[in-house]
Amino acid sequence: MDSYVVEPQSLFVPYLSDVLARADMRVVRVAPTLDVDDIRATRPEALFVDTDFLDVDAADAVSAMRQALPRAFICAYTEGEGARADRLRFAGANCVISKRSGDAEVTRALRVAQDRAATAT
Amino acid sequence: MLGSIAPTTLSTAAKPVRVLVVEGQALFGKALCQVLASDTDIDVVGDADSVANAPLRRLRPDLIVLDLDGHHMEFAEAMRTCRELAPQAKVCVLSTHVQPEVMQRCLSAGADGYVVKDILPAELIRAVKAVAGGHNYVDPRVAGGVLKRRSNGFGRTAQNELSVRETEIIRLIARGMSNKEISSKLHLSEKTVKNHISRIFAKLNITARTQAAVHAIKTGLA
Repeated sequence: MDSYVVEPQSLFVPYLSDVLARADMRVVRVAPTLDVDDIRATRPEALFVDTDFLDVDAADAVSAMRQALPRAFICAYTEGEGARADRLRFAGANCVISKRSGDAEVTRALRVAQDRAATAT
Repeated sequence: MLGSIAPTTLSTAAKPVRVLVVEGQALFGKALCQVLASDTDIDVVGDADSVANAPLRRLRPDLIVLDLDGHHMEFAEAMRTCRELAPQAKVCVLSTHVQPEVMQRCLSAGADGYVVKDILPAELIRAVKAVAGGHNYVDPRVAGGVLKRRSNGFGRTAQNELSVRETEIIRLIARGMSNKEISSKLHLSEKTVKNHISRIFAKLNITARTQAAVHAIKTGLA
């Protein structure tokens, strides 16, 4: 699954790419900020976005990504839990992953969400 | 304190620097370990999700890379624990905050270095080596802010300065979060959050959350 990552912490990206690869998500592009036009032009199958560093509301950002790529698999990575995570799901995220999760937990969550998304389509 | 800040001063260590990574975000912690371990002058001896869970006495690190944002305890308390259990260790704080006042509070609490989390891998390694070599290291962007504030004559009395935790809470207030949401995010009880907010109000001489939010925005905290 070709994946687009929105993550400003460059030192995090190599390790994150390894973890995503374990869930069959191949990182094809990394952007430090949200650029919906670039996402639309890249047309990835999946989006992984660190929602805690965006300069816009996280749910609005997910909503914009969902509008740009209606069929893409969207994963929001966040410190937020509970109602904040629900807002991201409601905005169109297929998967919301807590930053406290470890490697195995992240991989498992991504696989489960991918299966669920595939079943739904 | 500014005189001791040496953003570009490096040292060459004769033996590998024993580094312990304390980072609340599991994946990010592993990423830090991976980056640091890629340098032959650095030996990553362990990682933990909090100071409370870090085997400081057993590992005897030369340097602790300490995440500012994911603590279950006050930063000053985390620093005290590090000093008590690993008195030999230097502490380099890793933070998402670029506000000079946050950095100043960390250094006042005893940190030897302060870097922002979007730092480049090579620069992080330089920072760790500098701090291990006995220098202070501050992210140049934050240090620049300190100099600017000083040249503008900006200053507050220490008793009116917000602590790191209070700064964190006022930022969340400015984001519109309720006490319950703040307590959940910071893993504190609602009562503790209320106490922090009372202290914030007293220090800033304000009476409402809206005023706190406005203060946070005006001073660049939010």
